[in-house]
Amino acid sequence: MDIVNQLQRQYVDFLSSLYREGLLDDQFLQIQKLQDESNPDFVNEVVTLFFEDSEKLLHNLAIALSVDQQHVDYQKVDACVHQFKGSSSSIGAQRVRNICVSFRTCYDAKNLEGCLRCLQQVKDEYYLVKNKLQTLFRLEQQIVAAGGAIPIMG
Amino acid sequence: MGMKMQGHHMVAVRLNDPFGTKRKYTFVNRVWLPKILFLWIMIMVFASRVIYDRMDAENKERRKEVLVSMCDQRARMLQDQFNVSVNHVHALAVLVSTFHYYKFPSAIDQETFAEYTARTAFERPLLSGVAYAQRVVNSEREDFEKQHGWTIRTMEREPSPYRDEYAPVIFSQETVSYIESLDMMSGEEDRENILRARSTGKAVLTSPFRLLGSHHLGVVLTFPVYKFKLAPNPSVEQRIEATAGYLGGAFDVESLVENLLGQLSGNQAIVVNVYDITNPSDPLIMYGREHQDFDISLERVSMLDFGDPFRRHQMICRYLQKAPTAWTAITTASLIFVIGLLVGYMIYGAALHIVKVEDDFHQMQKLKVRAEAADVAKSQFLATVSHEIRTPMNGILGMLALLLDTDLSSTQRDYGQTAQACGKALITLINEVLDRAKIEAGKLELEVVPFDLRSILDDVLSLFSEKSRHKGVELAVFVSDKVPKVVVGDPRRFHQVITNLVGNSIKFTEKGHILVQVHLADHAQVVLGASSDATFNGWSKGAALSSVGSQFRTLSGHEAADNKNSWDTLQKLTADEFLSNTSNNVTGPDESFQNVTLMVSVEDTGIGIPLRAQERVFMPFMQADSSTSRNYGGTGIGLSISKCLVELMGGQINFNSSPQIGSTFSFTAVFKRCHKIATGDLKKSLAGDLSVAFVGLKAILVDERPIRAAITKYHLKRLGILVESVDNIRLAATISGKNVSQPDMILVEKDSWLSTEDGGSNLRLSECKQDGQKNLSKMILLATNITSSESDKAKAAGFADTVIMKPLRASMVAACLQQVFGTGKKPQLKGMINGSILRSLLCGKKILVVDDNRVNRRVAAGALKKFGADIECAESGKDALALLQIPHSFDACFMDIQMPEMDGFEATRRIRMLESKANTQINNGYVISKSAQTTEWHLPILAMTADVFHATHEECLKCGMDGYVSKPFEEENIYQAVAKFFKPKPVSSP
Repeated sequence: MDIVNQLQRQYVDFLSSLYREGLLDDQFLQIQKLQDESNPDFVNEVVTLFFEDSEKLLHNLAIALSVDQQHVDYQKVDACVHQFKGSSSSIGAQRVRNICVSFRTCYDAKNLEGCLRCLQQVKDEYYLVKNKLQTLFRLEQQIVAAGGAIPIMG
Repeated sequence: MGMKMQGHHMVAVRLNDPFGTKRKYTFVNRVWLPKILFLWIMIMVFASRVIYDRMDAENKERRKEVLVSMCDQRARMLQDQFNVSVNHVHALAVLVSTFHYYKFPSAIDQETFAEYTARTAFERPLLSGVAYAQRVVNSEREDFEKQHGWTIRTMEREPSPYRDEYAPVIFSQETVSYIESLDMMSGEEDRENILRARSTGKAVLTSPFRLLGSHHLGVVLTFPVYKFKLAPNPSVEQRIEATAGYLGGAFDVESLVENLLGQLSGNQAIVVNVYDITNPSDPLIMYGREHQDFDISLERVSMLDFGDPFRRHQMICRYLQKAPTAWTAITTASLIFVIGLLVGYMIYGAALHIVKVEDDFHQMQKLKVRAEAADVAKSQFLATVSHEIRTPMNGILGMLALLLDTDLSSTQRDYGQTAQACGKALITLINEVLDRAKIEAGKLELEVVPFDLRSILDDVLSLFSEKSRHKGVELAVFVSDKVPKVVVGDPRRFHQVITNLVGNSIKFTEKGHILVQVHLADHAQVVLGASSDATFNGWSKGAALSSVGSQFRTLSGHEAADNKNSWDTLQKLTADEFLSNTSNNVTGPDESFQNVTLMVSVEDTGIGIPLRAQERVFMPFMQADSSTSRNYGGTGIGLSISKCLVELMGGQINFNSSPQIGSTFSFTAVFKRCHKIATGDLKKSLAGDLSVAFVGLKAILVDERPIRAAITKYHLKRLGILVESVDNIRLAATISGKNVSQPDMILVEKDSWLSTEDGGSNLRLSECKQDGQKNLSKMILLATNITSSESDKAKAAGFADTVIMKPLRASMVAACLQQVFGTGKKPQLKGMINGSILRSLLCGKKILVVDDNRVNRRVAAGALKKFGADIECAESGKDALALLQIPHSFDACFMDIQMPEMDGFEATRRIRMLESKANTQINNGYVISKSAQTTEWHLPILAMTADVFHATHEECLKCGMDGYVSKPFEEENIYQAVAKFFKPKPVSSP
């Protein structure tokens, strides 16, 4: 049981650090709450969806902003960023969401340079949060494997 | 962001417009104004100058004309008279020649001549006298002298020296008899005259000289007398030859002219001079004085013809005085100038005023626009900032909650809890600010939904019950029976106002009570008006002081600021109520009205409001004084919001407060009556069903304070319990004893119990409890707070059944009674978690979630599934439309607004179109759905949006949506949106 305790503590610490650093917000908590017996893999499912969507969106964004520097399809950028903002806020990845907001001001102003910068930032943040979430899931799996329950916060 | 930018742009445009393009003046040009005034003054100067000149010239002309006419007149008269005299002298000359020379012997001697001339003197008024001198050549002198008997003398009256020729006077008028025998040729003037006269044969005149007798200026007129008739055109020699003598007369010009002028008018005004101008370079004066002070600017020269061609005379007339100053002209001109000046100045002043007013107007307009813009900007700013602050604050609170869940030392926990409390306070404040900003921006709109007012009040009470119990303050609600059960309005806002007022009261009250009363405003007014009329009739204000010691007849016995709420008034209000309950007709006409105006009053016995602060109570951010926020916290914004809300609800708020005694806030609000039959359902869902298990039970209430008893009664009556109230336990015991039907319960107020607590009554009570049948009355103690020792005592005294803690609420009382009576029903869960209610609402419902974002869709679906709903998903508006082709089996639809291709609004519009089509078909008789009970198709559609600001409620409603849920989902939020559509279903397990 000691290992389970340790894992659980580690899990809590890690999750707290995610909140503290502002990588995640309340919404992630809400999603965790939604997970119950009838829906045991809800968080994982949603987050995976988020990863898949996000990578597609990032890819689309990169194309939209790099193919033809003269005629950037800002509508497409708008669509992508809007999607990204929606899904990131649903998942509670608030730093990604915040960058999406500033991204929007950039393409509203047709500021290509700013867009590219935002794209880079959003990529960075996305990979950061992805990394952290994957770590979190690994921890969860370890806890489950060790026979413990995942601690619920809030 | 785009919207915001646009908003600013619009403000900017509005700012620029009035000053840029629209700045024009009606007709006054401010730059030209002084110049125009100056020009006008110049014109006026010129005009008055012209008028003056004209009038002056006219005057002068007239003066000149007068002078001319006067002068000419004088000259003519002088000339005429002169000529008449000359003619007479001529006649005399003819006389002399005829009778002296042609007759022989002469018919004339001195005597005859003197007489004749004397008698004809009136014919010659101008002549001082006439005389005849004979021509005597030297050779004849001696004969002549002998003949006459005197010697010829010179003018100096000396014997004349030898001369070629003499002209001694032989005949003379008496007036000039002194010149007889004088030689006329001896005088220079006369000699010349004589010579000239005989050579011309005409009357000649001398130049003026001083006459011998009078020493007046005069001229001498000389006529030649011929011895025989001359041939026609005689030569000078012939004339001289024929000359016999000379007739002369002296014109006294001075007296002559004097005389003449004296006969004429205007003599004083003018000066007349007569000159002899035979030698033009040296005019000799005949009349008048030469150098005198008269007006030399204007003169008139009239020529005189005295019949002597050799001599020339003229008359010069002048005015004696200078032309008088033309006062009329000056006055007229200056008057016109002054009038012109005044008119000009008045117009100038008016124009200046217009300019000023226009300036002020523009200034005001500018300021107004600026102020409005500032106001809008402020509200926008506040709304935005509040919204922006809330987001991180939620994070902070969430984190704090997480933090508090972790393993913390007690100090850390304390710190954390403090932080959380502060955060919550901040959120509350921000929400209030946001509310206010919304109200100011006019964005706040009241809902119009039916709600149960009493349950709202119960909710408020439950919020504060903990606090009031903790403070030992009695908190109570009383709602008049006349107030309808269900009214239509905005329950949340009503709740908010009451919460605010009660919260304030709680905050500032340390002892005593807080009483919330709701009456019909009209009714309360009538009754209160009547009671104030009736004060002399025993119901004096002092009656608020009850007989029970020094206590007041209020809820807690403490004095209240406004004794309107004292027992007396309440009694009257309720007494009337009972009356109206018995006679139903009274309420009849009242209910025909659509609106119902409620008067709510919140009375406390707190510290009151200092008099000087009373006027700023409703101003935002104003508290009584700075120490208030130190001692009690809060921002002072609540009351101003309440005021706004009350005004939105069509009412007024005011208060009555005396320091150290308490405050009473009362407000009115207008609601609509609810006529729908569906109220039954509604009451259930909103009020939570009050148990009907107690209908018909009987109770005896023991309370010495009537007002408190009335409140307790009110709550029990809501449960359908019949209540009889008595003053003390003894009375209760007797009643319960003698009553045939045993009361089901006896409720005793703790104060009443304690005050009558002596062995006897206790005993009596327990006796009464024990000696009856097994089915005894339940003994229930009512208390605001109770210590453990008291509770033990109470148990010992027979209140084993239960203690109901105040504040009373119908639902809580019901729960307690259920416990007491063991009615089998589970006590209602107080403050049931929304989750379980939601579950009851959503369980088994089929819900369509439309969102293009997979993640969002999954989360929404997960959230709704958690509450038991059956979820189906669509990823675009089109898919949703396909799924919602009628007939379908969905109960609700959650719709994302921003979607590619077809957004949520559009999709909703299409869905509504489909539905209306189907509905008309139904109405026409086609039955499409098997389940025929659905009379009309109307799928509740709720918008899902992350952006509360842009997708406002109205926008959603406009395109046919029924409400909106903000993303990310929150239970509370979903509950509020969903509760309108679904009736709760019984759930097997919470």
